[in-house]
Amino acid sequence: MEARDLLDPEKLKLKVKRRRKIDKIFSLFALFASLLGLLLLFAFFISLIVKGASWLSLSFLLGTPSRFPEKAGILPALVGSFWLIILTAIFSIPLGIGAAIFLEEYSKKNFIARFIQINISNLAGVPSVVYGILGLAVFVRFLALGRSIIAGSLTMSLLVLPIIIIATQEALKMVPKTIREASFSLGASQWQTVRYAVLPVAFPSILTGIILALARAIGETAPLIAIGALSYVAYVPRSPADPFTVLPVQIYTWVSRPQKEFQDLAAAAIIVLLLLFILLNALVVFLRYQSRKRVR
Amino acid sequence: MSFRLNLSTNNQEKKTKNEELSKKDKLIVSQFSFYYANKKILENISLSIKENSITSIIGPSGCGKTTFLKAINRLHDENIFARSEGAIFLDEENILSKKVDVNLLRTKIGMVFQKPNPFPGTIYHNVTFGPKLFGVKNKEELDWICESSLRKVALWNEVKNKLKTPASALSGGQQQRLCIARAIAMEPEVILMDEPCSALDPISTLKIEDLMIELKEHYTLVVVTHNMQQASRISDYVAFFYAGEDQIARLVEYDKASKIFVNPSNPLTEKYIAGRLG
Repeated sequence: MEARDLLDPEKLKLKVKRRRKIDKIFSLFALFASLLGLLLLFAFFISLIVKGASWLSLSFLLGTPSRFPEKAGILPALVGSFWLIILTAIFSIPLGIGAAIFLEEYSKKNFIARFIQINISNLAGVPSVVYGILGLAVFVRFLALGRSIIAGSLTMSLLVLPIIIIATQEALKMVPKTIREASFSLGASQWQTVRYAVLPVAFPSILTGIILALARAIGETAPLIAIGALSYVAYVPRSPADPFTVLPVQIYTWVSRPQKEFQDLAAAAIIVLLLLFILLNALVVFLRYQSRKRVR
Repeated sequence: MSFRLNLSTNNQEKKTKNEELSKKDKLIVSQFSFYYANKKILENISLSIKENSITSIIGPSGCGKTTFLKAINRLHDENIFARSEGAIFLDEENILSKKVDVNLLRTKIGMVFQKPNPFPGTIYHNVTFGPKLFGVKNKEELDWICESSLRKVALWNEVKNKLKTPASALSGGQQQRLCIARAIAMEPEVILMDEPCSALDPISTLKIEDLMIELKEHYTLVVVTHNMQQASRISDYVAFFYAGEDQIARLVEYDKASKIFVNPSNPLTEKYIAGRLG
Protein backbone atom coordinates (compact mmCIF):
# COMPACT_ATOMS: atom_id res chain seq x y z
CA MET A 1 0.00 0.00 0.00
CA GLU A 2 1.36 3.33 -1.03
CA ALA A 3 0.25 5.19 2.03
CA ARG A 4 2.22 2.74 4.19
CA ASP A 5 5.28 3.14 1.96
CA LEU A 6 5.27 6.83 2.52
CA LEU A 7 5.30 6.40 6.26
CA ASP A 8 8.07 3.79 6.29
CA PRO A 9 10.92 5.60 8.10
CA GLU A 10 13.67 4.05 5.94
CA LYS A 11 12.03 5.10 2.68
CA LEU A 12 11.19 8.49 4.10
CA LYS A 13 14.85 9.03 4.95
CA LEU A 14 15.84 8.13 1.40
CA LYS A 15 13.29 10.47 -0.08
CA VAL A 16 14.40 13.39 2.06
CA LYS A 17 18.01 12.65 1.09
CA ARG A 18 17.09 12.72 -2.58
CA ARG A 19 15.26 15.98 -2.16
CA ARG A 20 18.27 17.55 -0.51
CA LYS A 21 20.43 16.42 -3.41
CA ILE A 22 18.10 17.99 -5.97
CA ASP A 23 18.11 21.15 -3.88
CA LYS A 24 21.89 21.25 -3.95
CA ILE A 25 22.14 20.61 -7.68
CA PHE A 26 19.68 23.34 -8.43
CA SER A 27 21.39 25.88 -6.21
CA LEU A 28 24.70 25.11 -7.94
CA PHE A 29 23.06 25.62 -11.32
CA ALA A 30 21.58 28.93 -10.17
CA LEU A 31 24.98 30.05 -8.92
CA PHE A 32 26.56 29.12 -12.25
CA ALA A 33 23.86 31.01 -14.15
CA SER A 34 24.40 34.17 -12.16
CA LEU A 35 28.18 33.92 -12.32
CA LEU A 36 28.08 33.44 -16.08
CA GLY A 37 26.60 36.88 -16.59
CA LEU A 38 29.12 38.42 -14.27
CA LEU A 39 32.03 36.63 -15.96
CA LEU A 40 30.97 37.72 -19.42
CA LEU A 41 30.63 41.31 -18.27
CA PHE A 42 34.02 41.13 -16.62
CA ALA A 43 35.66 39.68 -19.75
CA PHE A 44 34.01 42.39 -21.80
CA PHE A 45 35.34 45.09 -19.48
CA ILE A 46 38.86 43.69 -19.58
CA SER A 47 38.99 43.56 -23.36
CA LEU A 48 37.62 47.10 -23.55
CA ILE A 49 40.13 48.44 -21.09
CA VAL A 50 43.04 46.68 -22.81
CA LYS A 51 42.00 48.16 -26.14
CA GLY A 52 40.69 51.54 -25.18
CA ALA A 53 42.17 52.70 -21.91
CA SER A 54 45.34 54.08 -23.47
CA TRP A 55 43.25 56.28 -25.77
CA LEU A 56 41.29 57.83 -22.92
CA SER A 57 42.54 61.33 -22.29
CA LEU A 58 41.27 64.83 -21.82
CA SER A 59 41.85 65.60 -25.48
CA PHE A 60 39.79 62.52 -26.39
CA LEU A 61 36.90 63.73 -24.24
CA LEU A 62 37.15 67.33 -25.41
CA GLY A 63 38.19 66.76 -29.03
CA THR A 64 36.14 66.54 -32.18
CA PRO A 65 36.11 63.57 -34.58
CA SER A 66 38.93 63.48 -37.08
CA ARG A 67 40.37 61.41 -39.92
CA PHE A 68 43.44 60.99 -37.76
CA PRO A 69 42.81 58.64 -34.84
CA GLU A 70 45.28 60.39 -32.55
CA LYS A 71 43.41 63.70 -32.95
CA ALA A 72 39.91 62.26 -32.72
CA GLY A 73 37.61 63.07 -29.81
CA ILE A 74 34.05 62.57 -28.72
CA LEU A 75 32.92 65.94 -27.39
CA PRO A 76 30.16 66.51 -30.00
CA ALA A 77 28.82 63.00 -29.48
CA LEU A 78 28.96 63.33 -25.71
CA VAL A 79 27.15 66.67 -25.74
CA GLY A 80 24.70 65.26 -28.31
CA SER A 81 23.95 62.35 -26.02
CA PHE A 82 23.33 64.69 -23.10
CA TRP A 83 20.98 66.89 -25.13
CA LEU A 84 19.16 63.86 -26.41
CA ILE A 85 18.67 62.26 -23.03
CA ILE A 86 17.51 65.45 -21.35
CA LEU A 87 15.02 66.35 -24.07
CA THR A 88 13.77 62.76 -24.28
CA ALA A 89 13.20 62.82 -20.53
CA ILE A 90 11.31 66.12 -20.76
CA PHE A 91 9.04 64.81 -23.53
CA SER A 92 8.47 61.26 -22.39
CA ILE A 93 8.27 61.33 -18.58
CA PRO A 94 5.18 63.55 -18.15
CA LEU A 95 3.39 61.87 -21.06
CA GLY A 96 4.31 58.38 -19.90
CA ILE A 97 3.31 58.88 -16.29
CA GLY A 98 0.16 60.72 -17.37
CA ALA A 99 -0.90 57.90 -19.68
CA ALA A 100 -0.22 55.28 -17.02
CA ILE A 101 -2.21 57.21 -14.41
CA PHE A 102 -5.09 57.52 -16.83
CA LEU A 103 -5.09 53.82 -17.65
CA GLU A 104 -4.70 52.63 -14.06
CA GLU A 105 -6.60 55.18 -12.01
CA TYR A 106 -9.07 57.05 -14.17
CA SER A 107 -10.25 54.91 -17.06
CA LYS A 108 -13.20 52.70 -16.45
CA LYS A 109 -11.77 49.40 -17.58
CA ASN A 110 -13.85 49.36 -20.75
CA PHE A 111 -13.24 48.45 -24.38
CA ILE A 112 -11.35 51.61 -25.26
CA ALA A 113 -9.03 51.33 -22.28
CA ARG A 114 -8.28 47.71 -23.11
CA PHE A 115 -7.69 48.62 -26.74
CA ILE A 116 -5.18 51.31 -25.74
CA GLN A 117 -3.56 48.90 -23.29
CA ILE A 118 -3.00 46.19 -25.89
CA ASN A 119 -1.57 48.70 -28.33
CA ILE A 120 0.87 50.07 -25.81
CA SER A 121 2.07 46.56 -25.02
CA ASN A 122 2.53 45.95 -28.74
CA LEU A 123 4.40 49.22 -29.21
CA ALA A 124 6.90 48.16 -26.57
CA GLY A 125 7.84 45.26 -28.82
CA VAL A 126 8.27 47.18 -32.08
CA PRO A 127 11.88 47.10 -33.37
CA SER A 128 13.59 50.40 -32.71
CA VAL A 129 14.52 50.99 -36.34
CA VAL A 130 10.81 51.22 -37.15
CA TYR A 131 10.56 54.16 -34.77
CA GLY A 132 13.47 55.68 -36.65
CA ILE A 133 11.61 55.42 -39.94
CA LEU A 134 8.49 56.88 -38.34
CA GLY A 135 10.55 59.71 -36.86
CA LEU A 136 12.09 60.40 -40.25
CA ALA A 137 8.67 60.64 -41.89
CA VAL A 138 6.88 62.58 -39.17
CA PHE A 139 9.42 64.75 -37.36
CA VAL A 140 12.22 65.24 -39.87
CA ARG A 141 10.13 65.60 -43.02
CA PHE A 142 6.48 66.31 -42.20
CA LEU A 143 7.09 68.67 -39.28
CA ALA A 144 10.26 69.84 -41.04
CA LEU A 145 12.36 69.69 -37.91
CA GLY A 146 15.31 68.48 -39.97
CA ARG A 147 17.95 66.12 -38.67
CA SER A 148 18.03 68.01 -35.42
CA ILE A 149 18.38 67.03 -31.79
CA ILE A 150 14.73 67.84 -31.29
CA ALA A 151 13.67 65.41 -34.02
CA GLY A 152 15.99 62.80 -32.55
CA SER A 153 14.66 63.18 -29.03
CA LEU A 154 11.04 63.16 -30.19
CA THR A 155 11.76 59.88 -32.00
CA MET A 156 13.46 58.53 -28.90
CA SER A 157 10.48 59.61 -26.80
CA LEU A 158 8.20 57.51 -28.99
CA LEU A 159 10.51 54.58 -28.41
CA VAL A 160 10.65 54.85 -24.64
CA LEU A 161 7.06 55.96 -23.99
CA PRO A 162 5.58 52.45 -23.96
CA ILE A 163 8.34 51.31 -21.62
CA ILE A 164 7.69 54.19 -19.22
CA ILE A 165 3.93 53.67 -19.39
CA ILE A 166 4.16 49.97 -18.67
CA ALA A 167 6.70 50.42 -15.86
CA THR A 168 4.57 53.13 -14.26
CA GLN A 169 1.44 51.01 -14.57
CA GLU A 170 3.19 48.13 -12.84
CA ALA A 171 4.32 50.48 -10.09
CA LEU A 172 0.78 51.81 -9.64
CA LYS A 173 -0.64 48.29 -9.55
CA MET A 174 1.69 47.46 -6.69
CA VAL A 175 0.12 50.16 -4.51
CA PRO A 176 -2.34 48.38 -2.22
CA LYS A 177 -6.01 49.10 -2.80
CA THR A 178 -6.37 49.86 0.90
CA ILE A 179 -4.25 53.00 0.47
CA ARG A 180 -6.66 54.32 -2.15
CA GLU A 181 -9.65 53.43 0.01
CA ALA A 182 -8.11 55.21 2.98
CA SER A 183 -7.63 58.33 0.91
CA PHE A 184 -11.12 58.23 -0.60
CA SER A 185 -12.69 57.64 2.79
CA LEU A 186 -11.15 60.91 3.98
CA GLY A 187 -12.91 62.75 1.19
CA ALA A 188 -10.00 63.01 -1.21
CA SER A 189 -10.81 63.49 -4.87
CA GLN A 190 -9.43 61.13 -7.48
CA TRP A 191 -6.60 63.52 -8.28
CA GLN A 192 -5.75 64.09 -4.60
CA THR A 193 -5.70 60.34 -4.08
CA VAL A 194 -3.31 59.86 -6.98
CA ARG A 195 -1.12 62.80 -6.06
CA TYR A 196 -0.88 62.44 -2.29
CA ALA A 197 -1.56 58.77 -1.56
CA VAL A 198 -0.68 56.65 -4.60
CA LEU A 199 2.22 58.41 -6.33
CA PRO A 200 4.40 58.73 -3.21
CA VAL A 201 4.19 54.97 -2.73
CA ALA A 202 4.78 54.15 -6.38
CA PHE A 203 7.47 56.76 -6.94
CA PRO A 204 10.61 54.64 -6.33
CA SER A 205 9.44 51.95 -8.74
CA ILE A 206 8.37 54.52 -11.33
CA LEU A 207 11.79 56.09 -11.06
CA THR A 208 13.47 52.77 -11.73
CA GLY A 209 11.31 52.27 -14.80
CA ILE A 210 12.09 55.73 -16.11
CA ILE A 211 15.82 55.41 -15.70
CA LEU A 212 15.82 52.00 -17.36
CA ALA A 213 13.89 53.52 -20.25
CA LEU A 214 16.30 56.45 -20.50
CA ALA A 215 19.26 54.09 -20.32
CA ARG A 216 17.76 52.34 -23.32
CA ALA A 217 17.43 55.69 -25.10
CA ILE A 218 21.04 56.59 -24.41
CA GLY A 219 22.23 53.32 -25.91
CA GLU A 220 20.00 53.18 -29.00
CA THR A 221 21.66 53.57 -32.40
CA ALA A 222 19.32 52.34 -35.09
CA PRO A 223 16.50 54.91 -34.90
CA LEU A 224 18.99 57.77 -34.89
CA ILE A 225 20.80 56.43 -37.92
CA ALA A 226 17.41 56.08 -39.58
CA ILE A 227 16.53 59.72 -38.98
CA GLY A 228 20.00 60.64 -40.16
CA ALA A 229 21.99 61.64 -37.13
CA LEU A 230 25.33 62.49 -38.67
CA SER A 231 28.34 60.35 -38.05
CA TYR A 232 30.73 63.22 -38.57
CA VAL A 233 29.92 66.31 -36.55
CA ALA A 234 32.92 68.51 -36.06
CA TYR A 235 31.27 71.00 -33.73
CA VAL A 236 29.34 70.94 -30.49
CA PRO A 237 25.57 71.37 -30.94
CA ARG A 238 24.43 74.63 -29.38
CA SER A 239 20.65 74.35 -29.57
CA PRO A 240 18.05 71.59 -30.04
CA ALA A 241 17.66 72.66 -33.65
CA ASP A 242 21.28 71.76 -34.55
CA PRO A 243 22.28 68.57 -36.33
CA PHE A 244 23.94 66.16 -33.97
CA THR A 245 25.49 62.81 -33.31
CA VAL A 246 25.43 60.67 -30.19
CA LEU A 247 27.92 58.30 -28.59
CA PRO A 248 26.44 55.04 -29.93
CA VAL A 249 26.39 56.42 -33.50
CA GLN A 250 29.99 57.60 -33.11
CA ILE A 251 30.97 54.17 -31.84
CA TYR A 252 29.13 52.52 -34.70
CA THR A 253 31.02 54.66 -37.24
CA TRP A 254 34.38 53.94 -35.71
CA VAL A 255 33.76 50.22 -35.40
CA SER A 256 32.85 50.03 -39.08
CA ARG A 257 36.23 51.46 -40.09
CA PRO A 258 38.94 48.99 -41.04
CA GLN A 259 41.87 50.56 -39.16
CA LYS A 260 42.77 49.05 -35.81
CA GLU A 261 43.21 52.51 -34.26
CA PHE A 262 39.57 53.33 -34.85
CA GLN A 263 38.54 50.03 -33.29
CA ASP A 264 40.47 51.05 -30.21
CA LEU A 265 38.90 54.51 -30.28
CA ALA A 266 35.50 52.79 -30.33
CA ALA A 267 36.52 50.81 -27.25
CA ALA A 268 37.49 54.04 -25.51
CA ALA A 269 34.14 55.59 -26.41
CA ILE A 270 32.34 52.49 -25.13
CA ILE A 271 34.12 52.91 -21.81
CA VAL A 272 32.79 56.48 -21.62
CA LEU A 273 29.28 55.25 -22.51
CA LEU A 274 29.45 52.56 -19.84
CA LEU A 275 30.59 55.12 -17.28
CA LEU A 276 27.55 57.18 -18.21
CA PHE A 277 25.36 54.14 -17.59
CA ILE A 278 26.94 53.51 -14.24
CA LEU A 279 26.41 57.15 -13.30
CA LEU A 280 22.79 56.94 -14.31
CA ASN A 281 22.31 53.77 -12.30
CA ALA A 282 24.03 55.29 -9.29
CA LEU A 283 21.62 58.20 -9.59
CA VAL A 284 18.67 55.78 -9.47
CA VAL A 285 20.00 54.03 -6.41
CA PHE A 286 20.56 57.35 -4.70
CA LEU A 287 17.14 58.78 -5.60
CA ARG A 288 15.37 55.57 -4.63
CA TYR A 289 17.14 55.53 -1.32
CA GLN A 290 16.20 59.15 -0.71
CA SER A 291 12.55 58.69 -1.62
CA ARG A 292 12.24 55.43 0.35
CA LYS A 293 13.58 57.23 3.38
CA ARG A 294 11.02 59.97 2.90
CA VAL A 295 8.11 57.71 2.03
CA ARG A 296 8.30 54.74 4.38
CA MET B 1 -16.99 70.84 9.14
CA SER B 2 -15.53 72.46 12.19
CA PHE B 3 -12.13 71.39 13.29
CA ARG B 4 -12.38 72.91 16.72
CA LEU B 5 -15.23 70.98 18.15
CA ASN B 6 -15.38 71.87 21.79
CA LEU B 7 -15.18 68.60 23.61
CA SER B 8 -15.43 69.82 27.18
CA THR B 9 -18.98 71.07 26.78
CA ASN B 10 -19.98 67.81 25.18
CA ASN B 11 -18.49 65.93 28.07
CA GLN B 12 -20.45 67.89 30.58
CA GLU B 13 -23.69 66.96 28.91
CA LYS B 14 -24.57 64.09 31.10
CA LYS B 15 -26.82 61.68 29.39
CA THR B 16 -29.77 60.63 31.47
CA LYS B 17 -31.86 57.55 30.88
CA ASN B 18 -34.50 59.74 29.33
CA GLU B 19 -32.16 61.19 26.81
CA GLU B 20 -31.02 57.69 25.96
CA LEU B 21 -34.53 56.86 24.88
CA SER B 22 -34.99 60.02 22.91
CA LYS B 23 -31.78 59.64 20.89
CA LYS B 24 -32.48 60.68 17.39
CA ASP B 25 -31.97 58.59 14.29
CA LYS B 26 -28.68 59.56 12.68
CA LEU B 27 -28.78 57.26 9.69
CA ILE B 28 -31.95 55.89 8.22
CA VAL B 29 -31.53 53.12 5.70
CA SER B 30 -34.64 52.64 3.67
CA GLN B 31 -35.27 49.67 1.38
CA PHE B 32 -31.65 49.55 0.36
CA SER B 33 -30.62 46.94 -2.21
CA PHE B 34 -27.22 46.51 -3.75
CA TYR B 35 -26.21 44.86 -6.99
CA TYR B 36 -22.81 43.90 -8.28
CA ALA B 37 -22.63 43.24 -12.02
CA ASN B 38 -26.43 42.84 -11.96
CA LYS B 39 -26.24 40.18 -9.28
CA LYS B 40 -28.22 41.06 -6.19
CA ILE B 41 -26.01 41.12 -3.08
CA LEU B 42 -28.14 42.92 -0.52
CA GLU B 43 -31.93 43.01 -0.56
CA ASN B 44 -34.27 45.46 0.94
CA ILE B 45 -32.33 46.53 4.02
CA SER B 46 -34.17 48.97 6.26
CA LEU B 47 -32.94 50.12 9.65
CA SER B 48 -32.38 53.31 11.61
CA ILE B 49 -29.13 53.90 13.38
CA LYS B 50 -29.30 55.96 16.56
CA GLU B 51 -27.06 58.91 17.21
CA ASN B 52 -24.22 58.51 19.72
CA SER B 53 -24.50 54.77 19.86
CA ILE B 54 -22.62 51.75 18.60
CA THR B 55 -24.49 49.64 16.11
CA SER B 56 -22.86 46.31 15.29
CA ILE B 57 -23.47 44.47 12.09
CA ILE B 58 -22.99 40.74 12.51
CA GLY B 59 -23.38 37.79 10.20
CA PRO B 60 -21.43 35.03 8.48
CA SER B 61 -18.65 35.80 6.00
CA GLY B 62 -19.81 36.88 2.58
CA CYS B 63 -23.18 38.19 3.67
CA GLY B 64 -22.57 41.71 2.49
CA LYS B 65 -21.69 43.43 5.76
CA THR B 66 -18.64 45.18 4.34
CA THR B 67 -20.52 45.96 1.13
CA PHE B 68 -23.22 47.62 3.21
CA LEU B 69 -20.70 49.61 5.23
CA LYS B 70 -18.88 50.81 2.15
CA ALA B 71 -22.18 51.85 0.59
CA ILE B 72 -22.75 54.24 3.50
CA ASN B 73 -19.42 55.89 2.62
CA ARG B 74 -20.22 55.61 -1.12
CA LEU B 75 -16.94 53.79 -1.62
CA HIS B 76 -18.60 51.83 -4.42
CA ASP B 77 -18.80 54.97 -6.54
CA GLU B 78 -15.54 54.17 -8.30
CA ASN B 79 -16.78 50.74 -9.27
CA ILE B 80 -18.73 50.64 -12.52
CA PHE B 81 -20.24 47.25 -11.71
CA ALA B 82 -21.85 48.45 -8.51
CA ARG B 83 -25.44 49.70 -8.40
CA SER B 84 -27.76 50.41 -5.54
CA GLU B 85 -31.46 51.01 -4.95
CA GLY B 86 -33.31 52.59 -2.09
CA ALA B 87 -32.07 55.37 0.10
CA ILE B 88 -29.77 56.07 3.03
CA PHE B 89 -30.57 59.24 4.91
CA LEU B 90 -28.00 61.09 6.97
CA ASP B 91 -29.93 63.72 8.90
CA GLU B 92 -32.76 63.68 6.38
CA GLU B 93 -30.50 63.97 3.34
CA ASN B 94 -30.37 61.01 0.97
CA ILE B 95 -26.65 60.38 0.66
CA LEU B 96 -27.06 58.05 -2.29
CA SER B 97 -28.47 60.89 -4.36
CA LYS B 98 -26.25 61.97 -7.22
CA LYS B 99 -26.64 65.55 -6.04
CA VAL B 100 -24.71 64.85 -2.86
CA ASP B 101 -21.02 65.78 -3.15
CA VAL B 102 -19.31 62.53 -2.33
CA ASN B 103 -16.11 64.17 -1.11
CA LEU B 104 -17.98 66.34 1.37
CA LEU B 105 -20.12 63.40 2.42
CA ARG B 106 -17.00 61.47 3.36
CA THR B 107 -15.93 64.27 5.66
CA LYS B 108 -19.13 63.62 7.61
CA ILE B 109 -18.84 59.85 7.45
CA GLY B 110 -15.40 58.48 8.25
CA MET B 111 -14.24 54.94 7.77
CA VAL B 112 -11.78 52.61 9.47
CA PHE B 113 -10.76 49.47 7.64
CA GLN B 114 -10.16 45.85 8.45
CA LYS B 115 -6.40 46.00 8.26
CA PRO B 116 -4.62 49.07 9.61
CA ASN B 117 -3.78 51.03 6.45
CA PRO B 118 -1.69 54.04 7.39
CA PHE B 119 -0.26 56.05 4.52
CA PRO B 120 3.46 55.70 3.99
CA GLY B 121 4.93 58.70 5.76
CA THR B 122 5.03 60.11 9.22
CA ILE B 123 2.44 59.87 11.97
CA TYR B 124 1.87 63.60 11.62
CA HIS B 125 1.35 63.25 7.88
CA ASN B 126 -1.25 60.56 8.46
CA VAL B 127 -3.35 62.50 10.94
CA THR B 128 -3.24 65.76 9.01
CA PHE B 129 -3.84 64.15 5.61
CA GLY B 130 -7.60 64.76 5.62
CA PRO B 131 -7.65 68.35 6.88
CA LYS B 132 -4.88 69.26 4.41
CA LEU B 133 -7.00 67.94 1.54
CA PHE B 134 -9.60 70.53 2.48
CA GLY B 135 -7.16 73.38 2.54
CA VAL B 136 -6.09 73.63 6.18
CA LYS B 137 -2.58 75.00 5.82
CA ASN B 138 -1.96 76.85 9.07
CA LYS B 139 0.69 74.94 10.94
CA GLU B 140 -0.67 75.73 14.38
CA GLU B 141 -4.10 74.51 13.41
CA LEU B 142 -2.67 71.32 11.92
CA ASP B 143 -0.62 70.75 15.06
CA TRP B 144 -3.73 71.22 17.15
CA ILE B 145 -5.74 68.81 15.01
CA CYS B 146 -2.94 66.27 15.21
CA GLU B 147 -2.65 66.48 18.98
CA SER B 148 -6.36 66.50 19.76
CA SER B 149 -7.09 63.62 17.36
CA LEU B 150 -4.28 61.53 18.79
CA ARG B 151 -5.44 62.33 22.32
CA LYS B 152 -8.94 61.16 21.48
CA VAL B 153 -7.61 57.75 20.48
CA ALA B 154 -5.29 57.64 23.52
CA LEU B 155 -2.23 57.50 21.31
CA TRP B 156 -0.82 60.93 22.06
CA ASN B 157 1.31 59.93 25.03
CA GLU B 158 2.79 57.02 23.13
CA VAL B 159 3.76 58.97 20.01
CA LYS B 160 4.09 62.63 20.98
CA ASN B 161 7.87 62.44 20.76
CA LYS B 162 7.94 60.72 17.41
CA LEU B 163 5.31 62.47 15.34
CA LYS B 164 7.80 62.87 12.52
CA THR B 165 8.75 59.21 12.37
CA PRO B 166 7.21 56.70 9.94
CA ALA B 167 3.79 55.41 10.91
CA SER B 168 4.86 51.98 9.71
CA ALA B 169 7.11 51.66 12.77
CA LEU B 170 4.09 51.53 15.08
CA SER B 171 2.59 48.26 16.28
CA GLY B 172 -0.56 46.92 14.61
CA GLY B 173 -2.81 48.14 17.41
CA GLN B 174 -1.19 51.57 17.41
CA GLN B 175 -1.52 51.75 13.63
CA GLN B 176 -5.22 51.01 13.88
CA ARG B 177 -5.67 53.70 16.52
CA LEU B 178 -3.74 56.02 14.23
CA CYS B 179 -6.18 55.19 11.44
CA ILE B 180 -9.05 56.03 13.78
CA ALA B 181 -7.32 59.31 14.67
CA ARG B 182 -6.94 60.01 10.97
CA ALA B 183 -10.69 59.57 10.51
CA ILE B 184 -11.46 61.64 13.61
CA ALA B 185 -9.26 64.49 12.38
CA MET B 186 -12.00 65.25 9.85
CA GLU B 187 -14.51 65.69 12.71
CA PRO B 188 -16.98 63.28 11.13
CA GLU B 189 -20.44 62.65 12.53
CA VAL B 190 -20.48 58.96 11.78
CA ILE B 191 -17.56 56.52 11.92
CA LEU B 192 -17.83 53.24 10.06
CA MET B 193 -15.54 50.45 11.20
CA ASP B 194 -15.03 47.30 9.19
CA GLU B 195 -13.81 44.59 11.56
CA PRO B 196 -11.34 47.03 13.08
CA CYS B 197 -9.82 44.42 15.39
CA SER B 198 -9.61 41.40 13.14
CA ALA B 199 -5.88 41.88 12.54
CA LEU B 200 -5.04 42.71 16.16
CA ASP B 201 -3.98 40.82 19.26
CA PRO B 202 -6.39 40.55 22.25
CA ILE B 203 -4.85 43.40 24.23
CA SER B 204 -4.90 45.83 21.32
CA THR B 205 -8.44 44.66 20.63
CA LEU B 206 -9.56 45.56 24.13
CA LYS B 207 -7.95 48.98 23.79
CA ILE B 208 -9.82 49.63 20.57
CA GLU B 209 -13.07 48.43 22.15
CA ASP B 210 -12.62 50.82 25.09
CA LEU B 211 -11.89 53.54 22.59
CA MET B 212 -15.05 52.83 20.64
CA ILE B 213 -17.13 53.10 23.81
CA GLU B 214 -15.50 56.48 24.54
CA LEU B 215 -15.98 57.65 21.00
CA LYS B 216 -19.72 57.10 20.96
CA GLU B 217 -20.06 60.12 23.23
CA HIS B 218 -19.30 62.28 20.23
CA TYR B 219 -19.85 60.13 17.21
CA THR B 220 -22.23 57.57 15.82
CA LEU B 221 -20.44 54.28 15.27
CA VAL B 222 -21.36 51.48 12.90
CA VAL B 223 -19.12 48.45 13.39
CA VAL B 224 -18.90 45.26 11.40
CA THR B 225 -17.62 42.41 13.52
CA HIS B 226 -17.26 38.66 13.41
CA ASN B 227 -16.60 38.44 17.08
CA MET B 228 -19.77 37.78 19.10
CA GLN B 229 -18.11 38.61 22.41
CA GLN B 230 -16.97 41.89 20.96
CA ALA B 231 -20.42 42.65 19.62
CA SER B 232 -21.95 41.95 23.02
CA ARG B 233 -19.33 44.03 24.83
CA ILE B 234 -19.60 47.16 22.77
CA SER B 235 -22.93 47.32 21.00
CA ASP B 236 -26.05 49.25 21.82
CA TYR B 237 -27.80 47.91 18.76
CA VAL B 238 -27.14 44.84 16.64
CA ALA B 239 -28.13 44.10 13.07
CA PHE B 240 -27.91 40.50 11.93
CA PHE B 241 -27.36 39.99 8.21
CA TYR B 242 -27.78 36.60 6.66
CA ALA B 243 -27.64 35.27 3.11
CA GLY B 244 -29.78 32.24 2.48
CA GLU B 245 -29.59 29.61 -0.23
CA ASP B 246 -30.04 32.26 -2.93
CA GLN B 247 -26.84 34.08 -1.83
CA ILE B 248 -28.75 37.31 -1.33
CA ALA B 249 -28.19 38.92 2.03
CA ARG B 250 -31.09 40.27 4.02
CA LEU B 251 -31.50 41.88 7.38
CA VAL B 252 -32.80 39.12 9.60
CA GLU B 253 -33.09 40.97 12.86
CA TYR B 254 -32.29 44.40 14.19
CA ASP B 255 -32.74 45.30 17.81
CA LYS B 256 -31.11 46.46 20.98
CA ALA B 257 -28.05 44.42 21.84
CA SER B 258 -29.57 43.40 25.15
CA LYS B 259 -32.54 41.95 23.31
CA ILE B 260 -30.59 40.24 20.52
CA PHE B 261 -28.09 38.52 22.77
CA VAL B 262 -30.53 37.51 25.47
CA ASN B 263 -33.74 36.83 23.68
CA PRO B 264 -33.53 37.01 19.90
CA SER B 265 -36.85 36.80 18.15
CA ASN B 266 -35.63 35.03 15.03
CA PRO B 267 -34.40 31.42 15.35
CA LEU B 268 -31.67 32.13 12.74
CA THR B 269 -30.23 34.85 14.95
CA GLU B 270 -30.26 32.56 17.93
CA LYS B 271 -28.47 29.84 15.98
CA TYR B 272 -25.84 32.22 14.68
CA ILE B 273 -25.10 33.73 18.06
CA ALA B 274 -24.80 30.28 19.57
CA GLY B 275 -22.26 29.42 16.86
CA ARG B 276 -24.44 26.87 15.15
CA LEU B 277 -24.83 28.77 11.87
CA GLY B 278 -22.45 30.16 9.28
